[in-house]
Amino acid sequence: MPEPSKPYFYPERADVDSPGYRRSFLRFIAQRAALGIATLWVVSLVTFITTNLAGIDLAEAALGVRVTPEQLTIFRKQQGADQTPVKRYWVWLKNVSTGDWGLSLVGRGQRVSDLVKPRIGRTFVLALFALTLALPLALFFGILGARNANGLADTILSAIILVVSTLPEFVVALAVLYLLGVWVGILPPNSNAVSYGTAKEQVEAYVLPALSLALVLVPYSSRMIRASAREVLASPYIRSALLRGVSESRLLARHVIPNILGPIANVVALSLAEILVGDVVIENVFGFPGLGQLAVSAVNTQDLAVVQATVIISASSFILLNVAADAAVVLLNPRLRRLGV
Amino acid sequence: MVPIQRPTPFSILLRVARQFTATIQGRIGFLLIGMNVVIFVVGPYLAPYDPIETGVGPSAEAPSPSHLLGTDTLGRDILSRFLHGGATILFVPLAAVTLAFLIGGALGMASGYIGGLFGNLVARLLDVTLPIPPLLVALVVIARFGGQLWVMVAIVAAVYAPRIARILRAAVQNLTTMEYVLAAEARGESQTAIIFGEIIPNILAPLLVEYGMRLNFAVSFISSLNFLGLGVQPPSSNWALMVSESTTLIPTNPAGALAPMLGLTSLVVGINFLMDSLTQYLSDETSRV
Amino acid sequence: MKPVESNKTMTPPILRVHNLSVGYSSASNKVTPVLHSVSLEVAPQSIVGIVGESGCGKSTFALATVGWRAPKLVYLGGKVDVDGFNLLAAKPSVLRRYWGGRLAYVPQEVSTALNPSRRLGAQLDEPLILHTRMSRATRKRWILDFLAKVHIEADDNLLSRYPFELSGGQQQRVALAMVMMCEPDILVLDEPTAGIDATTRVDVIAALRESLRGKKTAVIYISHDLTEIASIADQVVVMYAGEIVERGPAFSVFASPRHPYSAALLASTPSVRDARMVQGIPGRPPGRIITDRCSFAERCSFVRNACIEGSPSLLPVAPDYEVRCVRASEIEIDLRRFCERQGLQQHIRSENPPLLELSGLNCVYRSGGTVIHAVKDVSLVVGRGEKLSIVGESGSGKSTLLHAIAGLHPPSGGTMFFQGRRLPGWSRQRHVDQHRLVQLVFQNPGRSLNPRHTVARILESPIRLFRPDIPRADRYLTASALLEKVQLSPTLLGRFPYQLSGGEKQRVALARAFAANPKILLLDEVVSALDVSVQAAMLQLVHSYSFETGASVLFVTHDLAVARVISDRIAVLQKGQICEMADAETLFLRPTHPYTITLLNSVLSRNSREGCQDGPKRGELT
Repeated sequence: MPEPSKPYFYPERADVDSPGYRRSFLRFIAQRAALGIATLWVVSLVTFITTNLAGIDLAEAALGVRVTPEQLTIFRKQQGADQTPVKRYWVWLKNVSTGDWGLSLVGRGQRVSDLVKPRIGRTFVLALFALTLALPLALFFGILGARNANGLADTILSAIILVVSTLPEFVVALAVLYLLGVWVGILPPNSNAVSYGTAKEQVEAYVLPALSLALVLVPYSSRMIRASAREVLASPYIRSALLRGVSESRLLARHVIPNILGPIANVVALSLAEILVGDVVIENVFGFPGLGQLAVSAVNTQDLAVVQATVIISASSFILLNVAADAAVVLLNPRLRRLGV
Repeated sequence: MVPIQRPTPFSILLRVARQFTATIQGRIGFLLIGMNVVIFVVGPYLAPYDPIETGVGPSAEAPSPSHLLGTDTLGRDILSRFLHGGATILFVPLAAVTLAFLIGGALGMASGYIGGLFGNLVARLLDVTLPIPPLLVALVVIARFGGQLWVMVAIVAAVYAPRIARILRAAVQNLTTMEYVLAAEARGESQTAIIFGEIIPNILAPLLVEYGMRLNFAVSFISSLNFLGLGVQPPSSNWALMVSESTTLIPTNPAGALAPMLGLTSLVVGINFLMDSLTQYLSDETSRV
Repeated sequence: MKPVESNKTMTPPILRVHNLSVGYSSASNKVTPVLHSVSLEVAPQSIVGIVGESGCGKSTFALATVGWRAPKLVYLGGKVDVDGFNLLAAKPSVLRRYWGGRLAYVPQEVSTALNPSRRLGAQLDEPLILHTRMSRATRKRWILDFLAKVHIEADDNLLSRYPFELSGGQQQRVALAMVMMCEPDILVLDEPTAGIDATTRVDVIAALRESLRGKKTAVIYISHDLTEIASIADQVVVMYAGEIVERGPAFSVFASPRHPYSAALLASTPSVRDARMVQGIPGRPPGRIITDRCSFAERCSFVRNACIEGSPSLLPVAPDYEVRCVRASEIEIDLRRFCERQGLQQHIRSENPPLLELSGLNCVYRSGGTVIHAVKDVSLVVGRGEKLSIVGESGSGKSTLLHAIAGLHPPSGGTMFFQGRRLPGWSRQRHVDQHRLVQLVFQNPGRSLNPRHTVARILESPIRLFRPDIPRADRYLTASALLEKVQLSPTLLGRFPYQLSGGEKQRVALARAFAANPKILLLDEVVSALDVSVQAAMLQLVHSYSFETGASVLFVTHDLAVARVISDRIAVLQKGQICEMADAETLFLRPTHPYTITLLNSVLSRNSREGCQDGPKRGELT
């Protein structure tokens, strides 16, 4: 049927505009933040229980097998291992929240915070780099796909995006590594120059991992943007605008973009969150000396203090960005902003 | 009166098969998955060598009649490793996702349909646990317990169960306000009749799509862990592990190095195509409603 | 009639649609035609109403008259001339100058034209920026003047608001002002009041009249609602299956239609002035173009061999009056008789022994911390065999009341008695007989039939529950008998709901209720989503079921005309309270409560248009 019959009458609905029904913007953000803190607390609890309590002896792990019982007792006392679990958790939580992660067990007395700090910066720069590569692409593909939905370009694009989005990250990263790093060979396939090389080498070392991350991100974000742009383009007010003589470019700038700003900001925040957690694999493929690489090597060596630190840092930034993503949607939608959620 | 055929189990099966293969994509997906499953099942019997025995041939040799895909750096036959190494790629995630569906499904449906204090409690629990990134949980747990198969299964099940519970909860809540469910309540149908007769038939198809997507995520996720060396330990054969072991062979023996990557890729693409096809079919169907 | 005529001779038509054929291309690149060789001329200052059931091509016609381009819309032939300029051959850049300037289009539900994320000031300014050379200050004065015309007192504060910060009625009027801002020569309105409450609808139409006052605008007004067209148009075009079947002056078409389809549409349209039963049209529109015979032949009660031997052409039967029917001249008198309603209602008074008694019923919704009182202190008695309508606008609590009676929304206070026995609030606490004898039919048949069940299974469940005497093997036969009872073919038993039309689905829902042999039918807006022809057939079914079995009916509706046709008594519900309850006759003749009077005033009636014959100036009416 080309002409769908529209019900003449809309169903009854609850009086959503009555006072108290909607949450104000600030209250909504406060609730999301509280939820984020609760989540973080659960993460800390899980981390603490698995790494500290579940029958592992940190002291033995740290000091090795050839150790006298006296040494063990002293070490345990230093670590506070003779206290009750609740007390230990409390002390641990206090230390962790002030940035005191303790000592690395493998790095022989190196402070975990010293180990982690330079890597946080590198990983963050990598994430921003990837985002600046991915966002314009995602916007372009998303809006292009929405504008000729189900057309030839959209179909081809959708198929490519579907395939790329399916591939495990290491497959994408290896493909980039071999195509650009080895086969074409203009960029270094290994990114360890980030920590010591010259300025030029450092910049070059960022390119391939950032590109891989961007490739992983584009399918997801362009699909999100396509979906919201498509929804807006199919709205009656867009047709009405065209029928008032609005040109294509004006339509995009004045009618479409304002309506998809929220979703775009949401995608940006979520992508950043995804990158910060998801670059573990890609950092390892390229040997990029970031937080993810540290995490994996710490897991392999059972360096639990370092694992704790990387996990808690990643989880905090992930959760923070998730709250930001929620806030962005509300803040950039006048209706939600003014009437509440 | 025209005799009307009642649906038989066979006709239902046929209908489901048609739903999966409604598009070209669906058919390609079906083919890719089929190929992989054949390798998983028959492969181990066809393997010419022991997959973990070192030195059956020279180290890192290009393909030859005796080693069709060449050998790796330890002189193991890549073809044999390939034929043995597929099963865990699919079956570990399969077990994990199925477990996640059993736990999450029961939790979500119960909380969605019963509601009340229990429902709210479950909802809050889901709210708090959902935003935890799976990879971080995996890192912590593997650091402590190692990367054995059961740990993998437990991690994936634990991480995905809340997601499935959330989806099912929402679906069931949505359906219980549907008027056909209200109609069944108004005519006094029993609770079991409503759940099994009215609600479940309507969530089966979207649930199947969700299952496929989760399976895909799980395959990628567990492969990534294996690739990072956090899961299956050498010398066992596993495609993801083989990918990380054989990266150095790409220039000299591309076929051998790429075979596990190709197998893995074809599997995930296959699952994705099949699910995409089903989703498309379902959205066409609902748009017709 | 006279003034219209003189206008026509004085001014040549500004819009000429000539032999327009339009189709939609489907996925397989096949083009399905939906409009076939439509010709129409519209003169300045005249209002042409286009009416027909859904699927007859009205909306496509509206879009084609402004030269709308869409990927799936295919122009198969003909042209649309504005002052001799063919819109269909124009480049998009040229069209853009026409759109919004000389040519204006109003979509279904006017307010959907407003962009939710832009301030009103910017939106109202846009057409003026695009189509005029006014200075900023002039534009602003112009906007304020226009808003005043549609009764909106505007200031800077209002212009800086977003659309959702206005009331529903204000949104409609602002959107209308935005369209009219550039004083178009041609205005096309596609079901502008669809989805709007009755009281708001009156507002919109008044605003439309206001903004057309003194203008030379030529208007095409599309609606499925005959009464609405009758109240506003001076020319009427009746469309069926993509073709014009009748075109003539509004008052003559409505007084004495010449095409059987127009007559049937009129006969199926309920009216607040006429308590007699409406008549449905059998079958459904073909949904395609038929060129080898009369497209209405299958459903027509005047069909002869000549009708199926060839396609009739649109022939003049009077000056400025054309009809597409080979028997147009010979059946005129029969048609007039056909339009007369048959069978007076059997009025059953409330003195009948009571069947359902509600006293002091209260229902609330809780959401977050707030409590919304949906139903407040409602007491009423439904007699045996009585048909009681509950009328109210959206949000008045009428559906909630029905749900409470059906046991789906336990009341927070008050009592319900059915056949002298107490009716528990929860469905689960009720006796099987109480389930059986009280049957609810929902508003939206698309949601009330399980999409995964066949029609057979849908009908078998009540048989299983309520007719233990029928053996399992015979349930299927009983189901097929039920389908015949609601005038559906038993071949539908194997279908799924999505394979049925809206009318068929609602009949299946009704059959499911009949299966229980209920003593009272609770009908919740059951006809609101249906075309008039189907609606009329549904009303007939309900009426005859009640007549044959002596069952009572509690009929919830927003449509006063429907209530008038179906009910013995009417209760008016406002904000959860009954504000007036009386015999149908009394309520319509002597309403007492102010809200009832408002509602009755919001009903558009044909008569407001018939005044035209007395000769007042056009401008005042339109």
